[in-house]
Amino acid sequence: MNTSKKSTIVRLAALAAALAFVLVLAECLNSYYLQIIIYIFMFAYFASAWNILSGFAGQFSLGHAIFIGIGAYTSTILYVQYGISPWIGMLAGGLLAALVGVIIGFPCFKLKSTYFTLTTIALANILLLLVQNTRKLGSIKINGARGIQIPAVSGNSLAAMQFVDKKYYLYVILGMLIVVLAVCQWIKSSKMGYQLAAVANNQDAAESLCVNSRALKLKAMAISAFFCAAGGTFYAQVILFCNPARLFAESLSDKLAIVAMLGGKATVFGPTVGAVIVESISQFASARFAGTQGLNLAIYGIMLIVCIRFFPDGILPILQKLVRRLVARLRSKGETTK
Amino acid sequence: MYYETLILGLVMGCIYSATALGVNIIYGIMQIVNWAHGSILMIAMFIVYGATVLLGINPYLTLLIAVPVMFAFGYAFQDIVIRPLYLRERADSNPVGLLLCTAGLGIALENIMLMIFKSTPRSVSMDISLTYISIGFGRKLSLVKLIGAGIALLVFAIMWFYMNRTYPGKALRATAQDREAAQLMGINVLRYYNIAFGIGCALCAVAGVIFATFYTITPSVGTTIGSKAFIILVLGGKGSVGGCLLAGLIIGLVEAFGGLFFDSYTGQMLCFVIFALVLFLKPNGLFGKKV
Repeated sequence: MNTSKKSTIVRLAALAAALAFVLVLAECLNSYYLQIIIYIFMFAYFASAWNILSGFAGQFSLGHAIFIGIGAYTSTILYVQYGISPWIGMLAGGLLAALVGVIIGFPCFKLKSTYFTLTTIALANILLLLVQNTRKLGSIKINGARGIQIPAVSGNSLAAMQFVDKKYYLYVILGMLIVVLAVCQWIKSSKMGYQLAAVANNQDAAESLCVNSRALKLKAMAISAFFCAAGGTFYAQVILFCNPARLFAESLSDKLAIVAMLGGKATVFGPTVGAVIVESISQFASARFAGTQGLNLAIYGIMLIVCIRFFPDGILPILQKLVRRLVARLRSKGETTK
Repeated sequence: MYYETLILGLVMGCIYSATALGVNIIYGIMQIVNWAHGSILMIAMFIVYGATVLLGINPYLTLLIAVPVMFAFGYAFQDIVIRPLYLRERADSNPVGLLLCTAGLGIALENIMLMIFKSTPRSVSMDISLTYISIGFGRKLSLVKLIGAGIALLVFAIMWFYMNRTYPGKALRATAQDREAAQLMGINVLRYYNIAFGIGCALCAVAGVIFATFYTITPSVGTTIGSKAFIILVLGGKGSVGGCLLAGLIIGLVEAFGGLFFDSYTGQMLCFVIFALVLFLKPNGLFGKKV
C-alpha cells in the first residue's frame, strides 16, 4: 500500500472516530451542553460554506448574513403562511439565495479585493434596513423589525423540523456539515478547486491561462450562498424565531469570517477547527461569566488580533504540523526499537 | 422646512466628514481600511465623558486630553501590531489579514467597554446643551451642533495645511504615492506610517469630542457612526481631503432629506444605496484620483 492511500485511510478513520465520539456525546449530555454543541457545528457549517467563496475563490465577503437571512426567511414564510415543510423551504431558500448571489456577483466581481468586501457590507446593510422596514410584501407578511415567530409543534416532528429532544437537531446539523465538507473536499481536489486557487492567488495570471475567472467566481458564489441559506433555515428552526436584527446582522457575517480565518482559510477542515475552538471558548466564557456582558466577544476580538499577528494561516496548519512531527517521532522510535 | 433641513444636513455633513477624515488619511496613505475606527471614536467619547464627570472641565477642553491619548494609541498599535503584518502582506494581492486585524481591535475595544460600562446610555451636559440659536427665516438650530461643524471645518483647514504646506505632510503624501521613491529620498517610511495611523486615530478623537457634546454615549455607538464614515470614505475617494468634505456633505444632505421625505430608516438606506452605486460605477470615488 502506498503512503498516500494509507494517509487517506488514517484520515477517514480519524473522521469516523470523531463522528462516533460526537454521537456518543449526544447521548449522554444534557440539553444545555447539546445546545452549545449544536451552535459549534452550526458555525462550523456556516464558516465552511463561507470558505467556498472567500477562502477557495479569495473573494472576501463580509455580507454572508444576506444568504443566511434569505434562507431563514424563505423557509419560515413558506412554513408559517403556506404550511410547506421547512425541508422543502430549505431547498427553495437555497436556490433563491444562489440566484441572489449570482445577481450580486455579476456586477460585484469586477471589483478588486477591499472594494468587493466593502460592497458586500453595504448590501447586507441595505437588506437589513429593507427587511426591518417592510411590513408586507404583497400578501406576504414580513413584520418588519418585529420578526416572525415560528409556531411550536409538540413532540419531535421531522416534517416540521422541530424537535423537543435537542439531539435530533445535532443529527441534522451534523449531516449538513458532512455534506458541506464533502462538497469542499470535492471542490478542492477537482479542476475547479485548482482554478479557483489560481484566481485567488493571481487573477490576471489565471486569466492569461484561459481560466474564466468570472464564471468560476459566480459558481463559487452560488454554491456558497446555497449552503449558507440552507443553514439559515436550520438556524431559524433552532431558535424558532426570524428577526432581521439577528439574521441579517453585520456581526453574524463577521463571525463567519472570523471563525474561518482563525481555523485556516482555504482549507477543507479549517473552518470546522476554528468553530470548535472559538465557539467553545466564547460559549464557556459567556456561561461562566454570565453577568459580564460582552466578555465572549471581547475574547473574540483579542483572539483575532493575536491569531493574525502570530499565525496568519490559521490554527489548522499548526495542528497539522504538530501531528506530523508527532507521527515522525513515533515512527523513528519504532524503527530504532526494531 | 426645506431650509432648516438643508442647514441641518450641511451641519451634520461637516461633522460626518470629520469622522471620515481619519479613515481616509489612513486608507490614502497605507491602503488599510481601519475597521476599528468606530470603536476608537467611541473610546474618545468615553474619555470626554470621564473627563467632564471626574474633572469637571468643559467638554471642548477635553480635546487636549483625548487627541494626544488617541494619537499615542494609534502610533503604538501601528508600531506593535500592524507594521509586521503590513510588511508581511505587502506582496499579497488580497490583503484581508489587516482588515480583520483592525476589525478584531474594534470588536475587542467595543466589548471591553461594554464589560466595564455596561450598555447604560450616558450623555454629557453643558450649559449650552439646550441652547438653540437663530439661523435666519425664523428657524433655529442647536448651538452645539453648529460649534461641532465649526470645529470640523477648522480640522479640515488644519489637515489641508498640514498635508500640503508642511514637510511631514508632504513626506506623507510622497510615501502614499511611491513608497520606494520616498525611501530613496531619505524618508523613514515606516515611521511615517506610524504617524499616519496616529493622526488617523487623533482625528477620530476630535470627531468623538464633537459627537460627545450632543450624542448619547454607549459602547455600541461606534458602529452607527462608523458605518457612515466608510460610506464617505468610498464616496470621497482615497487620500483626498477636499473630496472627503464634499462626500460628507452629500451624505449629510441625503440623510436629512431622506428623513424628511420618507422616514429615518429610508434616509439611512439611501446612504447605503449611494455607497453601492458609487462602488459599482466609480470605484475610485467621486473625487478620487485614478490609481
